[in-house]
Amino acid sequence: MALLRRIWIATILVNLVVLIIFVGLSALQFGNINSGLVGDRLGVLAERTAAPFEAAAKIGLPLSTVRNAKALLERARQFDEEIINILVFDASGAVVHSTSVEAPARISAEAMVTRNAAQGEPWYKETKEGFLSSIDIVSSKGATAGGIMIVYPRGGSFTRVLAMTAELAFVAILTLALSTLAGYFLFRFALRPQLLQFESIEENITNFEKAAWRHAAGQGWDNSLHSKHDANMELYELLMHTEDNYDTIGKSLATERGSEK
Amino acid sequence: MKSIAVLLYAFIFACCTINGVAASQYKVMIVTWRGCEDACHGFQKYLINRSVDVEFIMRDANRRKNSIDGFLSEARALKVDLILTWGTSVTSKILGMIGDRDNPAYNNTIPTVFTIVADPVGTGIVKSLKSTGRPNVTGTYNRVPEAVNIETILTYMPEFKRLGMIYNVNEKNSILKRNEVDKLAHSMEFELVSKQLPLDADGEPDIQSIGPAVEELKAAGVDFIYLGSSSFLRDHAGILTKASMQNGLPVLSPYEDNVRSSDALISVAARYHDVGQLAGRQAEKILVEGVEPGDLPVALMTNFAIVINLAVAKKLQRLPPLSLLQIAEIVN
Repeated sequence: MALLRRIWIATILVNLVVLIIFVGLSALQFGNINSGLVGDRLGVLAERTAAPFEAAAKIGLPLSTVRNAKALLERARQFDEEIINILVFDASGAVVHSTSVEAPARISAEAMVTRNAAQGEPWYKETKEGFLSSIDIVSSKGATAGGIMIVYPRGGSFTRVLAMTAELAFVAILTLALSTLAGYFLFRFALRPQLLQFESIEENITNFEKAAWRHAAGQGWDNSLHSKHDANMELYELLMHTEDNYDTIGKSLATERGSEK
Repeated sequence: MKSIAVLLYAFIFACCTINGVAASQYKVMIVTWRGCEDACHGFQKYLINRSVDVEFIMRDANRRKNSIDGFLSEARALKVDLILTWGTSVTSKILGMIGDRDNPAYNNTIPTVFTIVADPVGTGIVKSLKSTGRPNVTGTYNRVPEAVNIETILTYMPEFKRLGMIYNVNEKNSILKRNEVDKLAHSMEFELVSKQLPLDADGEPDIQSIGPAVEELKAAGVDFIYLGSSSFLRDHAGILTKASMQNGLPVLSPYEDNVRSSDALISVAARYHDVGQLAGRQAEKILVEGVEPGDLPVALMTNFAIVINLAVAKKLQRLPPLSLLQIAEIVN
């Protein structure tokens, strides 16, 4: 039973490590996929929000002068109640319209740097203030009239990743428990001959040791011991060889003890 | 006790009487061209909402230039603190041109805020929008550049090639706008066909001539009519837009109410009420904050809307493109 227990514990540990790695990697992957999906969704929303402003820019109206801008932005914001803010900024980055009453005067320096790096392409970034998704608005002359930026909270995404991790961890624990139980019975039945052999060897060694010590103490050999090992001749020979060694050592030990007396 | 009570009543009565007849802190004369309309109301409402103690003295030219002559001397006699002038005709009669800065026939002393002036620089009333060049004058500017109007027509009707305009030589702003659009015609690759309204014996345009002018534009093969700038045409927009509809011609008006109340198809404009409020803000700076009018740049309107009359679009069988529908305010 000691061998089965050791194999079983080792298997549990290996399973545990594998599942931890699996849950960790899955959570990371889910985080990345979730982040990408949020980015794609915000990108589509930014594009849709920018369309009417682009129509205004195409006819030459500055973005700041669009009278129903607030209504247009509010309509876009209502697509997702979690949106923190939708901003319209001019070419210099100055905020000209916003859904928030406490709108910043300009878009952040980090957003400005990312925007410049994007070179007019839609961009998406995860920052301290949240997910930022932006698209530039081009005027009729091909110049950039400004852009739309959506600020989305990271909290919701983090919660989703945590929820997914918890779900994965639960499934992993369940899997571990089931595999542990199944593993025990599997090992027990699949390795039954080997385990019995091992137990038999263990028992024989124990009995042999007991007999050797009895013999050394002046008691006779139990010959029935040898008959138990007919099935395993090699082991038998080994035992015989070991028996001789024990005999020799036992006698020499007895001699030494007798001379000491 | 009785005498004390009498004294107390006398004191309360005196206080009430003083309050009742107390003159307002500021006197503001509002000189309009065709009565107090949205901009005029917006101006008054702004100052009232800001709790500026103002007495408004209303004077209306009733669409006659000669009526304006006496208003300036009256303003001087009444020692008004500020004059609000409405429209190009009224403003140019009260202020004269920039070269009239030393001409006593014009107002060069009483702070003046002009509003609803189509082209104050082109008309010669002020030097520029950033600096009026006149110590007692500032104002508001509420027009979009003419290029925006043409781009709007191009967006609505990509095949647009020929623009029709009717103008009134009796109004300087009308001529200026016609000339401005004519200059754009070459660079924006369209043709301008303009028709001047004939004047009667009194030098006034004839209402009856509007319909035939539209028919002439139709015959000339114009795709769109642009109203330009004219108080006369604005006042009679109903006749103009009806005639245009009958001839299957869409009208772009710089006046939003022509789309809302008449049959103009589209406008890119600011609300006059908002323009009046902006003029009110200019007046507040002068009266309350003590800013010299000449130090104030002409305040530019920042709220413009594209307004489309969908009923007219349906009648003309020319529905707006999706790009304009996304941003336009739709009426009817």
